[in-house]
Formats: sequence, structure tokens, C-alpha cells
Amino acid sequence: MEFEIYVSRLEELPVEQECELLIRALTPSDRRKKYKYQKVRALISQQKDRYPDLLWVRFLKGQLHTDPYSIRIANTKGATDE
Amino acid sequence: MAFRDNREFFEALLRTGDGIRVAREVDWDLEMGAIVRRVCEMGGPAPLFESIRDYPGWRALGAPLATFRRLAVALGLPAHASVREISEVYIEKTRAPGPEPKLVSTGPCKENVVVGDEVDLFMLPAPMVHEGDGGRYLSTWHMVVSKDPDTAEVNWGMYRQMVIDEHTMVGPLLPVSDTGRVFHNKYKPKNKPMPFATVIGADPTSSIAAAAGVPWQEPVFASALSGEPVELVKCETVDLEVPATAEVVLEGEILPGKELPEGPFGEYPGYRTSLREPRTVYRVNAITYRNNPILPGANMGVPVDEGQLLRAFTLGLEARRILASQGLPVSEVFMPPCSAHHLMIVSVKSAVTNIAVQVAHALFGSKLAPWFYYVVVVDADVDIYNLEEVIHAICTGCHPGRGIRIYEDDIGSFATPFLSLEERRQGRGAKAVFDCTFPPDWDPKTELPIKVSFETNYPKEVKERVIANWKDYGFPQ
Repeated sequence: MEFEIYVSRLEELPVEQECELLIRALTPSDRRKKYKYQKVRALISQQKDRYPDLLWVRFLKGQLHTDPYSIRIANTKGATDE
Repeated sequence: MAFRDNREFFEALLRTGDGIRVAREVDWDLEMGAIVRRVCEMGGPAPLFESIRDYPGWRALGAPLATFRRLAVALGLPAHASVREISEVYIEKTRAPGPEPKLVSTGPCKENVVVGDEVDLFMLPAPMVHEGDGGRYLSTWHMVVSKDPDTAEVNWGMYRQMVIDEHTMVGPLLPVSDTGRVFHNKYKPKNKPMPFATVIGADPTSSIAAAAGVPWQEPVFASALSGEPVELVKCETVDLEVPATAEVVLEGEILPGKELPEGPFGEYPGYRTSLREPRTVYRVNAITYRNNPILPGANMGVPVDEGQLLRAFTLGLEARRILASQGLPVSEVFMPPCSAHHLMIVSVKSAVTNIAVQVAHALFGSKLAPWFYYVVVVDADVDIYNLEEVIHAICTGCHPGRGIRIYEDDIGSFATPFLSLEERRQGRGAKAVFDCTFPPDWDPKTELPIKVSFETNYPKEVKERVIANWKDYGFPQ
């Protein structure tokens, strides 16, 4: 699976520590749900093969960072859930 | 003629060559957006997408009002009507409030009703408009309907909305907007959700009313513009009324005390300017829609899209109304759409000393002020719809020193590219007036320049002879 996240700087991404992130789905099984946002608790790595899923990174004006991260999602909740 | 709905309007566009049916399947994920963007940049016909990937049964209409030809058709004029003619008809139709909107028991927008847990915004083919956008923008050519809880005053406004999940949208609801003012002043302090309805695909005059800065409540303005009462139906879950023939209606609540990141998005000045930032959250509790629905959408970018065209057109004419109400000797006002509604051109009938400054002060002090930065004041003999004439007037009539007045630390918009990030965030900006009129105290015999043109410098009989013989000289007629 592939996901995407927006950050102002790469340093904001808390690599190798479980954290809560707001990400969007790029390859859901139902294609109509592409770009749906969800809050997840996850581990991320700068090494793209370390965790099972890919996490693409965009900056705040939409520019895509060329090198994806990897992500392991522990659990998922709704975007507006506390 | 008034169009009952968006569909009748599109049929009229087909007849004038200003609409086109696209039977080939298109992808909602960027392809549709790219087509519409190209249409805007080429001034092409409005495409009705009849087959959308993943969304059988749904259709989409791009760039419905992105040209003056389509605006002319929407107002019942021939497609070839000039901007001046369209302006005069618009002013005339909206000189006085129209008939009161008519509440009807039901309408086509109720043909399908989805409420509660069944609501799923992903059942609608919201496009991914531009690459890198923060999400799918369901609402780019629409109106958000709301009501002031104290005065019951209704507002229709166009505030973009991005899909977050099945029930949630997010968008900038700025305190300078009418609905934003009510939400931030009357609901948020009480931590009370504010009811809203997003209407997508209303009839063209209702859409124009929602995009315009209008002097009355938009439903009354829309009725004035169409000459007939707008038919409204009650919403299913909120105490609001919406146009009965709309394609899609989303009902719900604007949530206080909750924000989510929104954007980035390609914006009306033709840039992606504002950052992705926490913005207002909309919870959707019901969706109603027509059979075989059409989702209209605009694509903001470099000129000309309907955001630029309609905002420029209507802001300019509202400015004309404001100036006339002040008794200023204004002839015409025009905001060129290619200025991304940043430039107001005003022609004045008589040059009173410093009339340009008086005009600028009246406009900079009006509620239209956040949306534009430059006022160019020219004499009435300049055709303000002819940008070459306007540039000539600026370059020959405006003194680079005393003709340009700058207003520092004024107000501005979050999407303005030339403002710093801090200015955008704080809604601050600057303004300038270009006085292109010649000082009235200049001696006509010695100091006042005489314009040299075919119109002004030849005797009537010579001009008539030249025009009559034009073809005989060998020129094409």
C-alpha cells in the first residue's frame, strides 16, 4: 500500500518512533477512496524497504519529495477522531 | 430568458458552440482537471464529461462560466454580446431586488436522498483538480448556504471544500467572508455547530449570485438576475433552503473547536500561494442529488477561469454601484479577469481635483477591499474594456511621481502571490491608485495635451468619407 503525508520540513517526520500522523491513502482497494485521510499510529523509516508500506512526502505547497519513506501502521482511526 | 437549471443552460451552450459533450471516459484523478485547465487557458467550450472512471451514472461539467460568451448566454443575451453590453444588462437587471424566492414542496434535487451513516462523500466524483493539491475538491463551483441565527439573513457564498473522509470536508472559512463572519462571531464563541448546505450545480444565475459580492441576500439577487423567483426547497436535516433544481446538495454542520489541515490548492491568482494550514471542518450528515447527476467544477489557475471572470465582473459592477451611491462622477468600472480581480479600472466623467484619490478611498473603504489592490482612474474618453487603451492612458496620463499613491499596511487576501507569508496569514496588504487623469487646472490652451486619434482629430465629413471609401481604398471591410 502507498500513503502520502504533507510536512513543512523533512525533519518533522519522527523516524523510528511510534507517532500519530494524518496521512492519505494512494492505493486503496476501492479506488474511489483514493486520497481519503486517516489518522494512524505508525512507525516510519527513511529507508523505503524497512516497513511494509510506502509513505510519500509532500511539502506544504504540494511539491513531492522524490524519495519515499516506509511506514508500518499499528492502528487507524478517523481523521477527526481525538 | 431564465434557465431553470444547469442542464437547460448547458443545452443553450451547445447551441451557441460554447459547450461540448465528452463521451470518452475520463479519469477524475487529474485528467478531468487537466482538460478543464486547458479549456480555461484556450478559452474553449465547457466540457460535459459523460463517462467518469469509477463513477458510472455520474457526469461532470467543467468551466461552466469561464468566458464572457457563456456569461452572456447565462444572462439571456446573444453569446457575442460585448462586455459593455453584458455589464449594462447586469446593472439594469439588479437595479432593484427581484421577486422573493418561492418555497416549493419538492424538487429534482430530492430525487435521491442519503442520510446518516449511509453518507459517503466518495460516492461523488470529486476531482483531483491539480497535481499536488491537498485533496479532492468537491466544491469549486458551488454555494455554501447558511443563515445568521439572529437576523435569519441568508448567505450564499463560494468557499472551497476539500474531502477528508466519508463525512468530512475542510476549507478556509475566513472571517472576512459573510458566512465566516457569522461562524466566527456567533457560533464559534458558543462552541455551537453552524448548519450549512453546500449546493453544487445550481442554475447559472444562482451560481453568479453566490460568486458575486452582492448588495442584497443572494437568493433575492439571483431572482433579480433571472427575472423570476428562485425556487427553493427545505433541506432534510438543517433549517435551510436550497435551489430546488440543484444537482447535488450536501447538508451538515460547520464544527467549532475543530480544525484540520487544508490545501494546498491552485488558487484564483493563478498560483498555489497559501500554505496547507488548519482550517474549518464541515461534517456532512445528508446528501441529496438528482438522477443522472452532473457535478460542475471550476479549475483555478492562470486566467481565465470562472472564479476570475465572475468575481472580476461582479466586483467591478458592485464598485460602480458604490461609487454612484457616493455621487462620484463615474462613467464605467471594469475589472479585467486577467488581473485575477486585483485591478479596478474606473473612468470618470469630469476631472475634479484629486478625483482619483476620492474614488480610491471610497473603494478601499468598501467591503470589496480585501479582494483588489490597484485602482486605475482614467478619463471617460478611454475605453476601459480595451486594455491597450488603458495601458496607453497609464503610460501617458499617470505621472510616475505624483500620479501614483501608495497605501501601506492596508488589507489583503491570503492567496495573493506578491504578499509575504506573514502578510497573507494576517490578511494585510498594500494598495495603490494610479491617477491617469490630467489635472483640471491645466490650461487647455497651453498645458492640457490634446489626444490625437482618428476619432478626435479629423473633421466629421473627412471621417465619413474615409469610412465610406474604406473598401475602395483596398482595405478589407
